[in-house]
Amino acid sequence: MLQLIALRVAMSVVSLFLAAAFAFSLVHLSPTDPVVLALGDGATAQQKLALARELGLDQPILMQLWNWGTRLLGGDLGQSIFAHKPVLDMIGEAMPVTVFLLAGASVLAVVIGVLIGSFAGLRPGSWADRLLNTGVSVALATPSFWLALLLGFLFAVKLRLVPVAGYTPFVDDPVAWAVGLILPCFALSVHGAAVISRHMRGAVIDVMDSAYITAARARGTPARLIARRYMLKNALVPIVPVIGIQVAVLLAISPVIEKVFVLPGLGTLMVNAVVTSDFPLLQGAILVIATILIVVNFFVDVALGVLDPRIRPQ
Amino acid sequence: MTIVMKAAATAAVKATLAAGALAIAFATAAQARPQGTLNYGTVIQLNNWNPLVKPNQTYTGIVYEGLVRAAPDGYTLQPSLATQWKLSADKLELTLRSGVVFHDGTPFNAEAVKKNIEWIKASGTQWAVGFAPVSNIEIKDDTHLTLHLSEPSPTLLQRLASRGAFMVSPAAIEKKDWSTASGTGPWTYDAAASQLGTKEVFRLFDRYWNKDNVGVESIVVHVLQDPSVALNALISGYVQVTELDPSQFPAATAQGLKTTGTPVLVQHILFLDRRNTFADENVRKAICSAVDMDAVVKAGYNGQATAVSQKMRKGLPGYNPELTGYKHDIEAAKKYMAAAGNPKISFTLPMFANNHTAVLLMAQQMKQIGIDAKPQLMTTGQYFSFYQTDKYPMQVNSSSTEDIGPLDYYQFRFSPKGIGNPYRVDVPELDALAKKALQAESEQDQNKGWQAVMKYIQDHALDCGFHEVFTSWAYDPKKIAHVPTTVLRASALRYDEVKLLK
Repeated sequence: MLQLIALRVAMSVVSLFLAAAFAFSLVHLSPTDPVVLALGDGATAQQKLALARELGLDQPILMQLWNWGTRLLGGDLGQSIFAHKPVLDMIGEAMPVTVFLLAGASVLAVVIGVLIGSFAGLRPGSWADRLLNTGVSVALATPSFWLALLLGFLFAVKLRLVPVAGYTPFVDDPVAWAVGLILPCFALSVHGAAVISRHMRGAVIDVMDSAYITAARARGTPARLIARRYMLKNALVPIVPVIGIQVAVLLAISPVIEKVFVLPGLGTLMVNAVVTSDFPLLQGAILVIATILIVVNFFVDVALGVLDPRIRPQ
Repeated sequence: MTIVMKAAATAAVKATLAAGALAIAFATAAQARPQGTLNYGTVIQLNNWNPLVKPNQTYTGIVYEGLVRAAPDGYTLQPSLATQWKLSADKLELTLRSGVVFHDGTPFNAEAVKKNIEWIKASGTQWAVGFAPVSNIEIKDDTHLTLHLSEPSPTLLQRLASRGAFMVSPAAIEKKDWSTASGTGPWTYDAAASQLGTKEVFRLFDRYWNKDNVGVESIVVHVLQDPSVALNALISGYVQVTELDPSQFPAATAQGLKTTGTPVLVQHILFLDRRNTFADENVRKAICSAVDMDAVVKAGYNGQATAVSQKMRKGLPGYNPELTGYKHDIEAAKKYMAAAGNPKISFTLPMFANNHTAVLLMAQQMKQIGIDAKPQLMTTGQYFSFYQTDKYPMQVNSSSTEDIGPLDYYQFRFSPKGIGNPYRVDVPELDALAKKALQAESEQDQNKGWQAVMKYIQDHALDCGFHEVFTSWAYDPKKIAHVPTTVLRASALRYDEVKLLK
């Protein structure tokens, strides 16, 4: 197991390095000139050059990459061109929002997906299975943006059960924090829950057809015990990588949900950075999001190793 | 007496009346203390507090103030940090309000004004050119100073009333720290309570000079960029007023909400490359005749725009009632093209989210006369990286600086060194007309001079396709009686005049 963890850590470090280089290259391919945007229409060539020098944008691209990389190793992500604040501070402000949103949505997606998938997989072909399958298909086909708007309209505008938008920090008011995140987390989780439930259903059907389940049944083991002791653990093995991928998908959808519910998270920060061509901020945001994905994948790989000893390195 | 002196005299009388009205208001003590929180929705995000690089005054208008202020009509001047002024051909004398302090505690005085004007002049932004005629600033005492002018600057006071002349604490200018705001305005920025990119919070400034005439105690500006989200926020009471895309107006009124709009910019077709691509006057006239502005404003801006005949709004100097603009006439356009020898013209026409439908329509209409305008959709950042550069021969837009007055329009768009003239095209006849208008003695002659400038621009199709674009708002009439706005000030309320209903 330790060997597996060491291997995955090494792979994560390489991935992180590649992600950093990719973030830098992607940002610098943009045709936008942040100097012009920062100074406005009438800046003189001298003023533009002075700001470009201040930001290090007058140097060759490889030198810029080197400078950024060396600062990065020292924990310095630079300063936002427009906000004039350290990128690390800005990301530090936004990160808890996205982490809570992502964590809440992931837990909901896994719980709902596993429950629905197991329930349907234990009753293949029944009316309940068909009904749930239809629901899952509808959930998969529904755009998250539209669903979020719809949920907002129903629960916030019509029923007034939750706030329509905004974020209350946990330290300010824990109850308002939780209530405010219910709808965004649920809206974000729906797509993931649908995917997980579909995979879970298939896995449950496969497991229930296996010889050891037939043997357990022949021994007279109660159905509930079979489901709990034999079915769940074995059916979860192929689901864990799916969960890992779904967390990545949820992270990709999260800027849309943040926009609909006006949450000051990483997605909002990144979209703003794209719109304003705030290179340091954009690089920092991409890098942090990549890091979150790499960390999630690391834990998925380790979890898989725990669940299935066959995949551990020999 | 020159036009400017007459204007100054009128303004002084208005200032006295305003001061009198203010005194009565104080004496009667009828005005209640500021109360309640205005929750305002906008599509604009705050990135920093440097007022010189902002495309609007959505946020800066809350914390900063200018020496003078535009009335709701957009051009009548009202006293603000200056209580009196006298403008002549060679100087502007200002009397400042006493007892005013910046949010950081720095006193507002003549020295602070000098520091601000010198900073704007050296900023290299679009506002710098407006203060170029200020050759020297003479301080008499804390509340009196004179701006000496190297050339007449009849719209200097209008420039002082723009968002490019907000007074900033000299300490902030010195530090170049734009992460927070230090103005003299009614509210201070509460960075701790604000949330990056989604919510900005402002609290009443205890030492504000006119606190008793401020309507609300605090302001929370919410960034609501999606129209459906903005509408939901308004219906649910999350905000009392919000900028709203006109496409949502029917849904808003169906919920008992009210809508309103204010013209904020006079946009037009910018023939930037009059050196090559649009050097031939007949080609420009052909385009002006081919574009159907009535159709463009109807389809391109959901009705929240109006086609107008010229750049200057009615009431401003230079407005020429004889000008009708170019009428949509494809046959006439084809004749102009034939007169130009039917040249093959092909170019990339940039557009961004705010104007893409209008620009697409214009491109289609140009194709009818054989002009191949290739629309290219850009992000807002990309678009404004290239706007006012010599990369694209044509744009459809405008800058706030041009709307200040005819002199500003001419200087920005047509003078050889104008920021809005990136191809550096000379129009000597227009320069001569502008010079004549500037040197005219009487108000009537000055106005006639600027009218001649506008006529020249139309006759030679230097600009055309003028259309006023609106900012649109929706509000809850049970919570707010009306939305106070200023013409030609985009995406911003007259925040101090907002009063919440109980």
